[in-house]
This record gives sequence, structure tokens and C-alpha cells, in this order.
Amino acid sequence: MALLAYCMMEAATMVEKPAAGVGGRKIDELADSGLRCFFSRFENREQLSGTPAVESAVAFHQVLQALFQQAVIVPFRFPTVVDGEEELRQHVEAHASRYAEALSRLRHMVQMEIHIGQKEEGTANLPASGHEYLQGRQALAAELKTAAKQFRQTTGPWVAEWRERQTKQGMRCYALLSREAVAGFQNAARTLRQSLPGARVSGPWPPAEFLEIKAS
Amino acid sequence: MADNDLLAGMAEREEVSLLDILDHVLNSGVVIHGSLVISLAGVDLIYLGLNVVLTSVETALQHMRLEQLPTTRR
Repeated sequence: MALLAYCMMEAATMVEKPAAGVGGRKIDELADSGLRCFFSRFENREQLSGTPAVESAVAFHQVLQALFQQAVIVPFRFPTVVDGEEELRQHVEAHASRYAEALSRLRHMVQMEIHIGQKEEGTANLPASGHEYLQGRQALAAELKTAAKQFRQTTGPWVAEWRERQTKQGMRCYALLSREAVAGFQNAARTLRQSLPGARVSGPWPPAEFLEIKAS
Repeated sequence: MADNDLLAGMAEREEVSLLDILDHVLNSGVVIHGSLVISLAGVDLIYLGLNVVLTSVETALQHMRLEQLPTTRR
């Protein structure tokens, strides 16, 4: 028996489970160490492999969102599959204190994200030398930092914690805020986004960037 | 705090694309060591498949952005 794990939440939280999960499977749960862990059962791993990957990922996301709309969750990365309920229970028991601490700390929080994209370089603007290339990279990094700073300042009144990460595609900013602050954050970000067309705002997401839980 | 208050901000989801969803489910969350593999004959099918899709969507978006750039006349 293979179990596809969705997420965990505090055991005392009352939530309504979605009718079905990945592959139309029933969503089951186990309660242990003050946590509830949601999962779906499959005959084996190959049965899950047989379902279309994108559809499965979207169905997984829908389960997470349905639960996250009701309470904070610690999501599992897709596809996290274990060999049976006992293996899942062992994992929950082994890390219960860290998960419980994270769920308690983030109980009323959500994560908003801002992706600030790099401008596409046309072939006419290719750097003539390595020096020119590096200068271009520096200028771009400074531009991204300035844009991130503008977003941080504009949305600041609603944000409890802020993180940034530079990626190949540009800059990613993660804002931790309370659920009640989402509308205010969105309005503030929307006004600034009009002057920064390369930026995208998404969320609310489960506050995974702020979990402080490493893979185990 | 009432449940309705909790849900109030959730109605206005912005710009959540398939790319965002795939990016999140594949890259966010807890990993149980040794479990993140759904394989057949040693190939990580789902993970590999989704990464290919993710890369394809990203490439397609980049092409779309390039096509939308105004053409310059000389």
C-alpha cells in the first residue's frame, strides 16, 4: 500500500475535508502527537505513477488549498509517497515537536509572493565583452533589489516578516502576514505593480517559506 | 476570530497560474527522506515529468514575452 501525503495541521483544528484528492481518491487522515496528517491510499507507487502528472499536481494543490482556507497547514512536497500508514506515523511522531511549533507560530499567517522578472535581452543588446556582461549583471541585480525594496516599503504595514531570494528568473520576495492583512497587502502591491510590469503577485499560499523545517 | 474572517482574504487570489501551482507543489513543503520518488525501472517518472512540463511552460512564457515586445523600425 502506498500513501500520498498531503499535509499536516494541528489536531484540535476542525476542518471539512475535500470530497476527493489525487486520482479521485478518498482523503484519509491519521492523528498522532497532537497533529492530523492527511493522505490518500494507492495500491502501489506504480498506480500513482499511472495518473497524469499535471492533473495529479493540480489535484494535490486543490486539496492543500481547501484545507489551508480553513487553517494553517504544513504541506508535504509533491509527490511524497510512503509505504503505509506506519511509516507516515513514524515520521509524524519523530518530528511532531517541530511541526507543532511551526503550526502554532504560523497559526493565523499566510504567505504572499512577489516575483520580479528580469527584462528579456534582445540579441541586439548582447554584451561586447566579459566586462560589459558583468556590468550588465550588476546593474540588473541592483534594479531587482530596488524593485524588491519598493515592494517591501509599500506593503510594509501589513507584513510581519519578509524574505528575498535571487533566482535565474529574477527576484522572489516572500511576505508573511496575517490572514486579515491579505486584502490590504494586495491593494498596496497592486498600485506599485502598475509601475513595475515585470512583477507578479500571487497568494495567499501556505507559509512554507517560513516553516524553518529542513528535509528529514 | 470567526471562520468567515479567516476566509475573507482568500477570495481574492491573484494571478495564480499553472506555473505557480506546479512550482509550489514541487518546491515547497516537507520532504520525508527517501520518499520523493515514484519510479518505474529506476526513472523518477512523476518528478521528471513535472519538471519537463515546468521547464516547457517557462520556455513558452519566455517566448510569449519576446513576441509581445514592440518591434523596432530602423
